[in-house]
Amino acid sequence: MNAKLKLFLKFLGYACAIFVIFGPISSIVLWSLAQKWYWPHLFPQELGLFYWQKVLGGNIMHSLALSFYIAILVTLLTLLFTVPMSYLLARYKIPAKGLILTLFLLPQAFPQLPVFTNAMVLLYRWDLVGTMPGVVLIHLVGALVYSVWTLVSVFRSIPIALEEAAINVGASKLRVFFTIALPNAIPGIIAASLLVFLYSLDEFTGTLLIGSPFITTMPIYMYKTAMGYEMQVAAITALLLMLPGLLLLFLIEKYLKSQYLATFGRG
Amino acid sequence: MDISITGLSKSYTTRKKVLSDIDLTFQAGSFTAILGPSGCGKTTLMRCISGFLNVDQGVIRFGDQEVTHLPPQKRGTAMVFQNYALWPHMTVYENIAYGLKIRKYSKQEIEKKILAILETVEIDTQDVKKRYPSQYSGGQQQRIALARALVLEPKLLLLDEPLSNLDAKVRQRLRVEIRKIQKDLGITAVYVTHDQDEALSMADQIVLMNEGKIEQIGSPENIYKHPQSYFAAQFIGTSNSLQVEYRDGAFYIGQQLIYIPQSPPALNKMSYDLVIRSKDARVTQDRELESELLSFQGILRESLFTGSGYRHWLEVERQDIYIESEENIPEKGLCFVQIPREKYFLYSREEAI
Repeated sequence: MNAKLKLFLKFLGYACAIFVIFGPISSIVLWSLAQKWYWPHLFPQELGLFYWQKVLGGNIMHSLALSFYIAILVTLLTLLFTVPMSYLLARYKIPAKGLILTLFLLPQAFPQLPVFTNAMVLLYRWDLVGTMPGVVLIHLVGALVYSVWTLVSVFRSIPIALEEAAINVGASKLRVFFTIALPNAIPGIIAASLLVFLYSLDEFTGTLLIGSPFITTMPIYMYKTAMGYEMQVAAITALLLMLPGLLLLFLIEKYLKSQYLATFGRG
Repeated sequence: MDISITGLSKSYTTRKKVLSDIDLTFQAGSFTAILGPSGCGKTTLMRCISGFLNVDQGVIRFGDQEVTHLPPQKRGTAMVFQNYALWPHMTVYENIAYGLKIRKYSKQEIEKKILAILETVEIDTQDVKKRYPSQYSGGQQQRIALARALVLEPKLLLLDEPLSNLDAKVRQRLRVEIRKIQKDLGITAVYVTHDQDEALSMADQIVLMNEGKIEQIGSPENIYKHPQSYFAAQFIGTSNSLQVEYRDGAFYIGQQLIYIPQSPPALNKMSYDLVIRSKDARVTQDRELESELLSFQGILRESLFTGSGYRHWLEVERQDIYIESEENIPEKGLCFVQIPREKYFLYSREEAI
C-alpha cells in the first residue's frame, strides 16, 4: 500500500512538473501553428505553417541575426574585460577592492528603468542613441556585473597552491595566469559567458530605450508584434528565443562534467 | 651548499610576531625537520625560505648567495605541498615537464629526465603521457609531486606536511622512501611537520618551534633524550606532566613527599613541572625502595588493552597521568609509579611560562 502510494505521489509529482514546464510551451507551440483560432473553440480551427513561413522569410531573421551579433559582441567584450580583472580582484591586494565590487553591483541595486533613462541622457550627448555601440554599451552595464561576480568566485575557488607550485618551479606571474589559472577557470568562464550571452540576448528595457527606433533585437521585435495582436508571430519569436537558451544549457551540462573539475583535493 | 638563516623576524600585523629571531643552518645534503604544533610559525618559516613571504628582518643565504629579497622564481627551491598541488588539467607527464620547459630543455632531454625521475619515485612510466593526476591514488599523487620537484635538481627541497593527507600505511612507507630518495640524491631537504614520529624517524636535525621561536635544535636522539625546556619535554613523546611544589625544604606532589636529588632553589617556595614519558614509567603494586628510582603513589583507575600492552590511567593527587606498560595489573586501587632517574624531567615554573 505504502509503496503504491509512493509511486502514485511520484507520478503526481512528475505530472505536475511536466504540466508546469510544458503547459505554457505547448500553448505557445499551438499558437505558432494556428492559422485560424476564434472563440469559443478549444483548439485552432485551422493549423498550418503559414506564420512560420511568413516569419522566417521576413524581418525577423534580421532581428534574430542582430540579436546574436550583439550578444556575441557583448560576451566577447565582457570576457576580455572581466577575466583579467576578476583574476586581479581574486588574487591580488588591490586598494578599494570592496568599493570596486560594490560599484559593479550598483546598477543592479536600483530599478532598471531610472538607471537606463539616465544612461540615455548621457548617450544622447555622445550621439550613441539608436546605434549599435550604444546598445552594446547598455548591455555591458548588466553583463559586467554578472561576469565579475561569477568570475571572482571562480578564480577564488582555484586552490592557490596550484599557482604557487608553478611560481615555485620558475613560472612568471603572466605564465601562471595563462597556463594554470585560466585553464582551471574554463568551466567557470564558460558558465559566466553563457550567463552574459543569455542576458544580452534577452535584454529588453535598455535595448528599447537606447536602441529604438533603429536597433530591433528579438525581444523588441516580439514586443512590437505582440502589441499589434499578432499572437502567432509573438509565439514564434518566443520559441526562437528559447532555442539558444536550451542549446546553451546543454553545453553547460557537458562542460561542467569535464573530468578535471572533480580532482581538487582528492586524497 | 649550506643554507643559513640569521636573525629572521616576520609579523603579519604590527603587533604580534609570527617569527622572531630565527637562527638556523641546514647543512648540505642534510634532512631537517621543522617540528611544532599548529600555529607555531613553521609554515611561515618555510614560506619565507621559499620566497612566498617577505621577511621583516634577517638574512637568508643559500651558500654564498644572499636570497633574502629574491622572488620565489629565482631561488631554485622546489616545494612539495600538503595537497600535492598537481595541476589537474595537465597529464602527469606535462606536470613534471612544466618546470623543465621553463628552463628551456630540449624535448629529448625533458623526456629522459622525466623517465629517470619517475623511476626514482616508482611511478609506472607507461601511460604517464595519457593519464591525469586524478587517476592516481593519494600516495601516488604525492610521489608525482615529489618527482615534479626533484626533476629540477633544486638547491633545496621544501616539504610542507606532505604526508598528512594520506592514510597511516601509505604514510609509513612514503616516510622511508622520501628519506631514501633524499639520501640517494644527496639533496638538502627541509620538512615541515606537526607529527613528531615523522620528525624523529626521518630527520638528521630537528628544529623544534613554539610560538614563533625556536625551542631547541638537535638530532632526534638529542631532542628526545635531553629536552631543554618544559615545552620540548611535553611535546616530544607521549608525555604527562605533574605539578610539583618545593616547600619547607622538600619536593611535594600535592601532599605527597617525593625525593628528588636536586639542589634546592633559592626561594623558599617554588612550583615545578614534572614531565614523565608514558613509556618510561612502571606501575607496580608493591613499592620497591630503590634510590635509583623516583617513586610516588597513585590510584589506578582503569587499564586499557592496546594490543602490544596496556595503558593505565592513574590519579596522582588529583592529577591524571597515563602510563604504558606490557604487563596488566588486575586490581584497581592503590599502586606505585616508578621512574628511573634519567627518564624524568623537572622544570621550574618560570621557565614554563
